[in-house]
Amino acid sequence: MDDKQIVALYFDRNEQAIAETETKYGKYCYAIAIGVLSMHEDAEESVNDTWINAWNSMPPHRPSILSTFLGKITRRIAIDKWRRRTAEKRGGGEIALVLDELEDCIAHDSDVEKTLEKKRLEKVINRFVHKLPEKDQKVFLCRYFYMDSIESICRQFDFSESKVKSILYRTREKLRRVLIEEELA
Amino acid sequence: MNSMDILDAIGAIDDILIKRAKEKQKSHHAIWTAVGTLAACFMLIIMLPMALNVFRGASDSANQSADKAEAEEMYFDYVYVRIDVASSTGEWSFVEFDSLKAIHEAIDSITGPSEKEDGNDHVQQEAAKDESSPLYSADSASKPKKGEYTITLRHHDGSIREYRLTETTLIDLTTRESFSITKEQAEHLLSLIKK
Repeated sequence: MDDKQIVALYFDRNEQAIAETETKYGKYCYAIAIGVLSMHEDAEESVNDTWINAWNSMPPHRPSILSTFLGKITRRIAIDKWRRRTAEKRGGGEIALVLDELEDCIAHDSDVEKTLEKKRLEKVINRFVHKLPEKDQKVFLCRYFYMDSIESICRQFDFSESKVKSILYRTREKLRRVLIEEELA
Repeated sequence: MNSMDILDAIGAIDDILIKRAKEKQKSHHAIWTAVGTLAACFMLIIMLPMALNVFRGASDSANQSADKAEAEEMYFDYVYVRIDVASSTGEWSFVEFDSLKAIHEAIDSITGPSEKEDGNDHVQQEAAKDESSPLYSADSASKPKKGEYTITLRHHDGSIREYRLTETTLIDLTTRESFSITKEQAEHLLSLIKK
C-alpha cells in the first residue's frame, strides 16, 4: 500500500491505517528509537506511541513524506523517554519530580522567549544543514538525526572511521561558528 | 541553550533532507566497478571496429598477395599464346588476363556459352604442328593449314576445349562442330590472339 492510501485511511479514521503503517514503517521507526534509547522495550514502546501520535495528528495534518513524519515523531518520543530515564537516574527519584514542579514556577514570558528562541534555532540549523555539501549533510543527519553509530555511518557511506569523524568534527565547528554569529551559543 | 536544544532543533530539519540522508548510498567500490565496466565497454565499442579493420586489412592484404601470387603463377606458367602459323614453330608470347577473357567471350559469342564459363579459363593458342605441347590433342591432329590457328581454352579445373580458327570458320575440335564466322569476327579473334 502506498503512502497516500495509508494517509487516506487515517483521514477515514480506519484503524487499518495503523496496521499498514506498522507493516511498512515499523522497522524504520524502531531503528530510530533503538538508536536513541538502546533498549528494546523502550524502543518498542516509543514505536507504539508513534502510531498513537500519528493517529491523533492525522487529520488535520497531512504529511508530505509519511516516513520522515513518523520518524520525527518516533525520534521526539524516544528523546523525551531518554530524558525522563536519565533524569530519574540522576535524581534518584524525587529530585526529578521536584525539578519538574519547580519548572512550573518559571514565568510564562520565559517560556515564550524560550519557544521563540527554539524556533529561531530550528531555522538557523535548518538553513545551516541546507548549505552543507551533500556528503557532509548526509553524514551529519545520520549521526544527529538518526543517531547512527560511527561504524554504521562508515558502512553506509563506505568511508573510513577517521573520515567520518573528521567530517563530523568540521561540521560541528562550522555549526558552532554559525551559532555564535547568530548569538545562539 | 544547550545540546538538547540543538538535538531538538535538528529534529525539525526539512523532511526532504531527512529522507535523502537515508537513501541507499552507492559504495565507492560499486561506483568504480560501474565506471570500470563502462570504460571497458566504451573501449570495446571504440576498439573493436578498429581491430576488425586491422584484421580485415591484414586479411585483404593477404588475399591480395595470394591473388597476385596466383595470378603471377598463372601468368607465367600457363598463359601464353603462340602466334605463329602452322608452318613454323614460331615464338611464344603472353596474353593479358583481359585479353583471355575477351578471347573466351568472343568464342562464346560464336559457339554459345560453354558450361565452364567463368572467365577463369586460360587460353592457349598453339601452333598445330607443335606436337610436343601437352595440350596437343591427337583428335585435333587434322593439321591446320597455313594461316589457321588452334586455340585451346584451358579451364582452371584442367579440362580443355580446343578450337580451330580459319578465315571463315571456327571448329570445335572436341565436338567437331563447325561455326561460320564473319571476317570481322575472325579478325577480332586474331587481333586478340596477336595482342
